[in-house]
Amino acid sequence: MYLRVLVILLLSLTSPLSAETLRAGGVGAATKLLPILFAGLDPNEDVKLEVIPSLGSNGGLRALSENAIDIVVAGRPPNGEELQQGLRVVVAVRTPYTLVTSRPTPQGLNSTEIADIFKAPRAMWVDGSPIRIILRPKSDSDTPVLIRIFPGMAAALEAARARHDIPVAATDQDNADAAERLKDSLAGSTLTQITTERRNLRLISIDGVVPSIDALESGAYPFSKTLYFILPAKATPAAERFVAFIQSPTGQALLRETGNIMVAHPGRS
Amino acid sequence: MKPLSLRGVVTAIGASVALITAIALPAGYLASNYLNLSEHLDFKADLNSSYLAKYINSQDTMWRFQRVRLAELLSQTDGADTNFRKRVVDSSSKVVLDEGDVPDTPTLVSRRPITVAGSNVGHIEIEASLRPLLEDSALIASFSALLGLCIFFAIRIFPLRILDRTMGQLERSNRDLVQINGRFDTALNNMSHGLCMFDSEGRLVVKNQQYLQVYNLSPEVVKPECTFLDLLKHRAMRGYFNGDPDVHWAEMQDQMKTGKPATWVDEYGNGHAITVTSSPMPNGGWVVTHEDITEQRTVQAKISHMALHDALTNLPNRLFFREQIETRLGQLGRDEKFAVLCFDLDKFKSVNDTLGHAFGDELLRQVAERMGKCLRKGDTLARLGGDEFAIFQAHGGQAEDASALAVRLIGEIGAPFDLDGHQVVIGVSIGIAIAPRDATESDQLLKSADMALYRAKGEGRGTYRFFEPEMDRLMQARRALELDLRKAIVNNEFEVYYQPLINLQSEQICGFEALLRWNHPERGLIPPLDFIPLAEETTLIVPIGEWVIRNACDEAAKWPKEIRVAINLSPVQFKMRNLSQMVMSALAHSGLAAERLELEITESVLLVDNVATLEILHQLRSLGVRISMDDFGTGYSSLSYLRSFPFDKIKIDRSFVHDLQQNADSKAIVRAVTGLGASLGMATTGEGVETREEVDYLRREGCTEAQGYFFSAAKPASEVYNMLAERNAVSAVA
Repeated sequence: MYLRVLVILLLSLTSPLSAETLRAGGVGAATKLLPILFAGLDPNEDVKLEVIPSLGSNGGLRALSENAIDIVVAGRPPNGEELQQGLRVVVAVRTPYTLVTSRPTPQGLNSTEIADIFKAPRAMWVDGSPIRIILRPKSDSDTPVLIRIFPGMAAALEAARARHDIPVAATDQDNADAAERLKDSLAGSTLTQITTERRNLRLISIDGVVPSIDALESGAYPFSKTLYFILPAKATPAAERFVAFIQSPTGQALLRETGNIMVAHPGRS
Repeated sequence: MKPLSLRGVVTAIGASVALITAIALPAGYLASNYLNLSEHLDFKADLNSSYLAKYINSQDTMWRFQRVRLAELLSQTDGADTNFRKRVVDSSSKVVLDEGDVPDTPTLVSRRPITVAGSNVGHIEIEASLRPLLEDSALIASFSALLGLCIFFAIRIFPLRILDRTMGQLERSNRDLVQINGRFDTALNNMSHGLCMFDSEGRLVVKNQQYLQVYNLSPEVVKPECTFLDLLKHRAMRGYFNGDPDVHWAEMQDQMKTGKPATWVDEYGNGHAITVTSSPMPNGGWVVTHEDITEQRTVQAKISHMALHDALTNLPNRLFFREQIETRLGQLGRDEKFAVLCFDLDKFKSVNDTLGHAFGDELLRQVAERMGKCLRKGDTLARLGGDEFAIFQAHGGQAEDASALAVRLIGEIGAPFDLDGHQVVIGVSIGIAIAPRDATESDQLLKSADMALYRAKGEGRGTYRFFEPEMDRLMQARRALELDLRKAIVNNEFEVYYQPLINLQSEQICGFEALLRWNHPERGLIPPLDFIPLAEETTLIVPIGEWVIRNACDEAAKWPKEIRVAINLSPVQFKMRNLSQMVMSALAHSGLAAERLELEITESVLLVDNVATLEILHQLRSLGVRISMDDFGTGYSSLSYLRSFPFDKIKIDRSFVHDLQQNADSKAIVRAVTGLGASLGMATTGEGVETREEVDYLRREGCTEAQGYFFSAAKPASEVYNMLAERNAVSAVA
């Protein structure tokens, strides 16, 4: 799977420049996913992809509503105001929400102890090494995911935020960078980010299940984050074509390869 | 300063400090913290504006959507302090970022533009709530208000409490001062002396009402600041100053310089006398007290007169008289003489007893008046007490002069006195002593005159006697006898002898007469006539007589029941009102039957306080005691005496019995008395029987009893039974 992605990336780099640009942005986890998916388009398409970094879901949706970008991958669906502006979810994918670490051979964790680890000032791995957690801003889309999937996480996160020694990563990339950099780190992430960005991080099994597409599909691994591909009311043709590709079997295969499974089609849901 | 205004000032200060404290603290806190917050917000806004400008400059227009990155940038300035709302607004007034909770109102906002490449791309707002600051300020304001209140009370209450305490002490001091002043005024105006006080300049400072009254001064003149000289002049106008005021003022100043008090008496023409005491004061002034001693002097003179004069007759008394003699004796020149006459009024007592003391006093006044007429210049008449008078005859050195005066006095006093219609005749006995022949001391001289008076009284009264040295010797002997007599009672030197009384029909002893004997330890047996008169005169007869009665009763109780005992009673014993009780006690103690006791009295008994005496006699007779009239025929022998009391027996005096053989009159008297006794149912006893003829005559004349040496002399009690036995034997032979 990694090889295929690499090929696509190489192809995208070698393709001639065209006049039409597809401006995209959103959650950090999609920063590398979007080029991989875009590379699956017909090479003859005279469309160029420009991923605007550091927009985040809110910034991306705002930019989309102002037509500053053409498509956004958000960690949340549009709210009422955004829907009134005509924004629409065209594709929704689920990717396993994972806990990652820089430890070479991480131990598995129980879902019930996650909150305690975040809460305890001196939480330790089984070998006695300190668990160095990394937080995300309150406004980040990962924060409600964590609170939702792990019991007791709201209070645990509040307690962790009160500590000054806990780093807070503004973007998904900053988060992954910190997790890689810190020894014995523990951070939340998504399988798609880890996969697409080829991070030097190890996935931590939860309740004895290693996060994977299969485990997610089977329900053995229930922890996931949904990414929404959103277009404005009046999408550009390039955007429409890109969405159509994603929805195509090739596109879906690419999604799967990048750690995502399509969970719904807006038109049918 | 008035207390009220001081209180107001303290209150104002307290209120000001309290107000400043209550307002300044929260206001300062609010202001400083507001400025701090404002500066802090401005600083954060500046810093964030700078961060954002740099970031935006590196981005394109897409910066407006890169919220995550913008939020990260802005969070760098948060540190631990996150209570801010941060808003990034682009140039089109669209909110690009709104981080942080909406702060509670009211809020403070710091706004800074975001300038990139010289263009304003928007601005950043840092907003913070002012509510915590306001709440803190309100809390501090509450504490400040409380603190201010405490300060107010601390400043107002404590100083005012001290002030009140001080004012209270001041008021108490004032009250005390007023009270002391009141007391001082009261004391000043209630003292008996006049008082005035002058300062060092001689100005009047203090005076009391008595000062005005003493000198009859005007209060219009005598007032503070009035000078001493003015006062002297005013007193001179009122007749209370002698001499020149200027001179006295100068003298006064000189006297004050000595620093010593001075006292003198001022006497004025109006008879007033005032004691003045002037005392210098330490400050240079002086205090003068004025005591009106006019009345005091009068009283003193009166007291002196009373001390030396008799109140009844206004004559000099013994003290004054004695001083006169003393003085005269001291002044007596060589060959000079004078006489002292002491005299008692004869029968004065009976006047007092019969007419009462008021008449007695009047009699004494009239006597003094008459005596005064007999005196010559230089002579002094004095009343020594009672009816005793004395005359100091200045020119009585010759016996003739004294005799002439005595004769004049006897004549004057012997003339009848008219006491409120009562014609009273008394006499006077006079004793005369000549100084310095008879004595060189006043007491001795009076004593000598007294002894002469004693002699005059003893020799018939109504006469005068000159003192003789023999009188003194006799008097001393008499005094020695008196002392022995007193000791005799204590030493039990008396003894009762018994002389038998003979029934002339049976010539048996029917009784004994108890006769007192004195066994003097040095002089031997002393006959009754040598000491009984003295015992009566000194009233020692009372205890002696009681002893005789008790002793005789005790003795007689041992005799045969038909034998009586006769005991003599002195007139002096009748002055003892409880005589009958004493006799009763003696009878009870001895167990002697009352009818065996015979008490003998002489006529002289009935001469003294007749009524009382008769009452005692009746009491005795009612007990069963027999009463005999002793020595009948020697005195007045008034038959009224026999009628006044039912005597049981009449004892015919020995002088009649002794003369029976030689004197027909005596026989007639004996016959008459025995006849009288028989007629009145009274027994008769012939005394002093010494011969058989006398016994026989008495028997023939009807006399019932006899006693005398013919039968037996008086013998000790131990001889009574022998006498009884001998007499029975004799009568049996006869």
